[in-house]
Amino acid sequence: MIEVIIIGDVTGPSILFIGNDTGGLALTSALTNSVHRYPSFSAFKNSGLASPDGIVLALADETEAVDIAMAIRQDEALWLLPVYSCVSVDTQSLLYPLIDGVVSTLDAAIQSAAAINERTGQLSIDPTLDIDNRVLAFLASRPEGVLRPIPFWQSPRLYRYPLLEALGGRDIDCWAWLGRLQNRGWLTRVKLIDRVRDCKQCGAAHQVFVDTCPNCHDLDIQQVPFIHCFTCGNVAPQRDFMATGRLTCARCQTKLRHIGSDYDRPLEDHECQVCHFAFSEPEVIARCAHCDHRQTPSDLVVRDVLSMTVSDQGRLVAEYGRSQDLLDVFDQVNFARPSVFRFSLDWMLALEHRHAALEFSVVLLRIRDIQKLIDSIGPARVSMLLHGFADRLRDLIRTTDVCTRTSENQFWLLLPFTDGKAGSGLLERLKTFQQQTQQSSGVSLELDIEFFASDLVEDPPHEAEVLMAEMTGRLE
Amino acid sequence: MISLVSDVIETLAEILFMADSGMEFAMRFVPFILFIEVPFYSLVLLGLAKYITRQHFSTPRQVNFRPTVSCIVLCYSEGEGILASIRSLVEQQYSGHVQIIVVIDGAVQNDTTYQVALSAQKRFKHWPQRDIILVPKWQRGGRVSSINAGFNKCRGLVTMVLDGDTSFDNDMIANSVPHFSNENIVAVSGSLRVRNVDASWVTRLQAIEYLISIHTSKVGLSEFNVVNNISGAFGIFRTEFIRAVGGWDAGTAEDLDLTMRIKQYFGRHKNLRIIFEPKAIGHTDVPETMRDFLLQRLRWDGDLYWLYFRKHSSGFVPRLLGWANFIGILWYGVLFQIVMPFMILIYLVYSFFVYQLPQVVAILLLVYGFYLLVTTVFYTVGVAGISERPRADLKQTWLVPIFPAFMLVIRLWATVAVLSELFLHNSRYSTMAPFWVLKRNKY
Repeated sequence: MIEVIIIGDVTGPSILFIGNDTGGLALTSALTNSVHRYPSFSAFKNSGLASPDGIVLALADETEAVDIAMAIRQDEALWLLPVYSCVSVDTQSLLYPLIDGVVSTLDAAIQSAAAINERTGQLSIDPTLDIDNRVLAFLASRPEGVLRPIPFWQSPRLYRYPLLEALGGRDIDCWAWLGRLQNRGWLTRVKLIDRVRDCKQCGAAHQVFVDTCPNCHDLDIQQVPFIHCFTCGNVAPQRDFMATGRLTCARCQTKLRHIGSDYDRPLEDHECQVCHFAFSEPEVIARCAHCDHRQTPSDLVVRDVLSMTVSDQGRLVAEYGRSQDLLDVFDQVNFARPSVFRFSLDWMLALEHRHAALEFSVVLLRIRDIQKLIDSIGPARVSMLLHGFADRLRDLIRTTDVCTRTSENQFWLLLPFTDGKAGSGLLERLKTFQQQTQQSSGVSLELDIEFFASDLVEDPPHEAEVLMAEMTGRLE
Repeated sequence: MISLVSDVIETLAEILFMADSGMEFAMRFVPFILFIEVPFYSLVLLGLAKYITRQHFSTPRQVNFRPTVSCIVLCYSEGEGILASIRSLVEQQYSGHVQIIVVIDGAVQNDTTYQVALSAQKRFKHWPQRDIILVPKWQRGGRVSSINAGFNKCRGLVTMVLDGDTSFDNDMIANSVPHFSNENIVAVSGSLRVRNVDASWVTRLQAIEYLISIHTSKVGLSEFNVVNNISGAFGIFRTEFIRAVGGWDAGTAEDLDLTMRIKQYFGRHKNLRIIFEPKAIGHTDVPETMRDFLLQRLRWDGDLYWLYFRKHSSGFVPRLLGWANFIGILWYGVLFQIVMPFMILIYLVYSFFVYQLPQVVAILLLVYGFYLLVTTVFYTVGVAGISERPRADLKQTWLVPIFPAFMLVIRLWATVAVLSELFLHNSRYSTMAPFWVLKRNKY
């Protein structure tokens, strides 16, 4: 029987209290004043009550608590809400990553929830958010949001991420999803928790290691002492030499009296009971407990199990809600691949040599010291600046102009039918915008600009590579 | 020259065929042989016959007796050499528990030896029924202090005291331990063989000496419970008895000293026995040059004199030793080893001054012939009846004819040894222990 109590009035903080085991938590608080009861969690959902500011779980049965926490995290309205438990929770249990902490007083819960809700308010959240952005939003809203793997031996992968399972759905492949998020640069590693080895075939981490005979690969092997007779070179198990009760070579009948002089122990100390092969090192085979696939231990796929948190880039994505790299803004300005750009420039140069009437300009833009800017005004404002600059650029160039990016912060513009005069006009406007980006602290968007106009140069290079190299060199 | 030879032959003929003139000085020669040497050899041969007959006709008794055996391995500067010794103990074909106590004297200066011992301990850590215990003695205290230090750790019914440069046949423990099922046996003397026999002619001659005087003769002595000495390189004892006796005593010749002290209970406890077991075999390296060999014997024979005449002079009585051992030690230890060398020397010098050259040569030939006969007899009995490696022993056969000369050198050298002990007190400057330890010896 679940007791549901709502504490608080409409204007003050409203905390949903689920459970009947208060664990010593005082139900009254200086910040709240009313109490309501509901028979169950679903009853609360059906009541149509407004979303509370936080939820406290007070359930002695951890399985029930996990179920409710998962349901909360999957709920469209409640998934970002702070959830606490007033019953102590083991850090290695499935419940722990789903909640935001264990509280002993209601006031502690209210204060913590307020902090989280404030951060949530700064993020761009809407019901259409995809699961990637949900994860980023969740982690960004918590002061120490960490995706923690929980050891779960029943799982084929040995670890589970309960939070990912809740946000992404039960069927999600957490590991592939994490890999994707990490590759996009949105998550960074906090700590290496474990290193497991997966089956090459099915990806399960439950391996059975068995030592086998290197010759026939049977596992019926035994450790047996061997003797090597110096007289005739016979190498055989010791029991073959003990036929007479004292060590005697079975082949040449020499009485073996002194180790090192008459006989010695060879390196082989194992014998296969099937093929009777003698060897010193057994061959170890890893057999997957799930799919029975056999492989050598070196064939197993090594997988690092990590705890992860949101990176700065991921945090920006959470705030702006757009799946874009910081500088990706430029990639939408008539963007072409560098190879296409070079081809076009080659063509323009060839045409220019043929028909001098064709005029074109090439602009090289480099944004200097982005990191310094981020350090001084923060990534959010830098992003805004770059957005603004990209917008400006988009306004300035025409649909027939081609843009490319050859490195992190290096951009090229190919402006056909733009002579030196028109091109330099463009540059002026760019420079003006650069000055406008100057902050109160004196820091601004540092642009290095290099300009080439075909009508202003006597004998331009014949190849795009050469021209681009020359321009890059002039920029240094 | 020819006349010399003919005169020699004439003299020999006179002696051998009992001609009157020959009888005269033959009489001076006969006492040596008849009253001292021949009875002794006869006794030993009798004992050998007894042993061989018993071995031949009796069925071996299977004794289910596998007590813990403690082996004290004494190491000094042998370095890598101790590994062979430890390994041969680990590899013993004995199903009981063996405790190997490696004592390293002066472990600071002998760090190589200590490191080898450590690695051996690690290497054989998981062998069943074998425990290797290290006792590194940082301050060098000499052989006796090492043995006693190791003895403190002995938990076995049987304790063995072994040298770090001596290795053993794999049946050594299995052959020596069954004796201790007889309550009356308090010690077993093990046999020694020369390991570096092929190194030089000196080592080959010593191989013959060890075969005859240790491996064969002691079997005969053992039958009558008059084993002369339990070798320090290879001694096997009943632990409780040694504990009661008080362990080893500081000073040189600690092996002979302990043997004496054990025998000093035989007078009062008639059933106690010391056995020699020829099937318990240890292999040791012997001096390879004549010089090193003579230095070794200088020490051995000097220590013998000191022990019998100085240290145990008051304990040298039949009431303590029992009549058999009293007579045995007197005869073999004192007469043979101490008095005889002087008698030989004096007689040789006397002959040179008194007799003509041909007669001297004849006498020498006669003496040589006698000892050659004795050597041949014992060698044959040893190789045919006692030795477990007859083919290896037969390789030294070609040296048997010159072996008596070697024995003569040893005997004459014994006089030097005794004299140097008598006047120079060499035992005080032994290499067996540091001076400050030897100085504390009352004797």
